Amino acid sequence: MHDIAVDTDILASNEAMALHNREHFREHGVYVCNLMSAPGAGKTTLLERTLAQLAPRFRIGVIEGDVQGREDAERIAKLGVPVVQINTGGACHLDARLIHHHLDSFVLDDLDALVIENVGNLVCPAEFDLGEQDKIMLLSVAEGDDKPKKYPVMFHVARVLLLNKMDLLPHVTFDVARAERDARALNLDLEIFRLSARTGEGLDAWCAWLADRIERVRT
Amino acid sequence: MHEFSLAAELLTLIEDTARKNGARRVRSASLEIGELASVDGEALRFAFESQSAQTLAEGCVLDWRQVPLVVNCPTCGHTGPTDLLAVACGGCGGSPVRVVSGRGMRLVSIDVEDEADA
Repeated sequence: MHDIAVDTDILASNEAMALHNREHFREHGVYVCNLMSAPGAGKTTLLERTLAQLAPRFRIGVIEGDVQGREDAERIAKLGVPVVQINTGGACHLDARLIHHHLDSFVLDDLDALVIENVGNLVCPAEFDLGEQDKIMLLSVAEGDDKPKKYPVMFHVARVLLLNKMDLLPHVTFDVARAERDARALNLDLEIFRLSARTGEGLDAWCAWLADRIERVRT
Repeated sequence: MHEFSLAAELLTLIEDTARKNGARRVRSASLEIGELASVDGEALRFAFESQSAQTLAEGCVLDWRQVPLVVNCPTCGHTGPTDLLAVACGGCGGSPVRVVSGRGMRLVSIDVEDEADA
């Protein structure tokens, strides 16, 4: 009987695979972002509206992560964008291995950007690096302004916070200043955009930001 | 319930380490859990027990130490602990701050039985 020193982060094997994915994306000049939110925050609608603006300018691929079903991939495919559906079969998040398995579905040299829509969940996806450049988090005002206090890790790791469904603000109790203050307290460098994927309000600023990120990788 | 996902990663790491070292059984594992990781120890223990049945780690006892959340304040330069629910500088009260430690979860060591113990 003896002690073995390990001193390793328990997510080390996922992180090693994420690093491998990241190198792979860099070699092929592909910008990758990981879109995360609770179920129903509007990830797929946001993606449809974003692709409508950016797909004419950039070659964008999409990975859709869901526990089951192909509805999201079918919505994206209608826009003429290459899309792969990953069904996790019960797992509440995507991990770097799953992404790696599905990369063969794309010709990376033919892409400028890959958007990964994670499984709807504010907890586990925050912990599993996929090899993306930016973690984009979506919070709809219908979910409540207390979420940064309740799900700190997600807000801590995100590069961008998109406050969605701003058109619903008159109908819900949501203190925008409070949510933004609490989110920034967890994340000094957080970029915040207020928008409504449904009405298109605020969408231009977000799309301009994303276009700039894609351009930086391309050049 | 992210404890279930984390327990699965933990089990893989423990099993891989045990196999590499020729262990027959893992008796205990020592962990460090960051305060910001928001891990419920009892939920982790339950998730680990249910997934480790019939593995080298069946019956493995999990011991952990919580690593407090420590932040650095870019306004006044102070580094120190803070309250998770009011992440702010313990020096000047300023916010936002940068997290120095207290994130994530580490496996520090495992205690194993090998052939010699048989």
